[in-house]
Amino acid sequence: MYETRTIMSTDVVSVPRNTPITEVIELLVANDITGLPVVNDDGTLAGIVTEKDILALLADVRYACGTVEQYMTREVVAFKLEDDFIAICECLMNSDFRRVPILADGKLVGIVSRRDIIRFITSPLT
Amino acid sequence: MAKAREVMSHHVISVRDDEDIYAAIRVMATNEVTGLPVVDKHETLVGIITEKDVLVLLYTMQDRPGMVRDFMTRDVVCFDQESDVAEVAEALRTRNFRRAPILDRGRLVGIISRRDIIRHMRELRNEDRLLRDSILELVF
Repeated sequence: MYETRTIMSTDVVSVPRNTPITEVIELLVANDITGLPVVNDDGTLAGIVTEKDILALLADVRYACGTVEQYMTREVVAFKLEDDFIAICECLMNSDFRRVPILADGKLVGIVSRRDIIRFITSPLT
Repeated sequence: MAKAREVMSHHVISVRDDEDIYAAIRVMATNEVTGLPVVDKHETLVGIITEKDVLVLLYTMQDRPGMVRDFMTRDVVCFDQESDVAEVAEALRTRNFRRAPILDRGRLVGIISRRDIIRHMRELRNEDRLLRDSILELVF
């Protein structure tokens, strides 16, 4: 059985809830990522903000203000570090999101994306 | 509002529909893209192959040889290069795909991803900031 901890990315860019939304735009572009987890002060997961959430700002991006909290998705499907990797695979195959946060004791410790899984399965190929 | 052609990525990595599926997976993995437009020999768009398609394929261990066209998504939402960016952005915001191929008279000429729109939004903001700074410099 494959362990989630060996497949997940641990260098996760996350932001506190009061981060200005304009800063999130910069982070997504600078880090070449499609979404980032939003965390509470104690490191627990508060939500996730994705490119999709940001697109709503296009019409008035010049005046956009506010914090990530106003734009993030709060209902996030997350997995625990000890959860079965197969369950994560199946979730990402059948859902419309491409990444799931991984938690240990409620705190964010990593992310598994579709890309992580494809890279893992095809590593002998590439 | 800008046109699709002003915001799209011109450098599009695409694959042929008769290419071996594993070759396409390698192209996807080495180029760090989440989806590849699929074209036929006339460069006409015929589908798209996404990470989701690949994940399903790998997971179900379909080791039978196959071509891209056996696994691709055929129902692709695409736009003409003269379309308004707002129209493309609206589709990418409300639908569950993150990129739309851009066509010129049916031929694939570019792609707009959610990222491209966000980069465009960032440029709009920066242009405004530069303009504001230069006005402030003139005034004071």
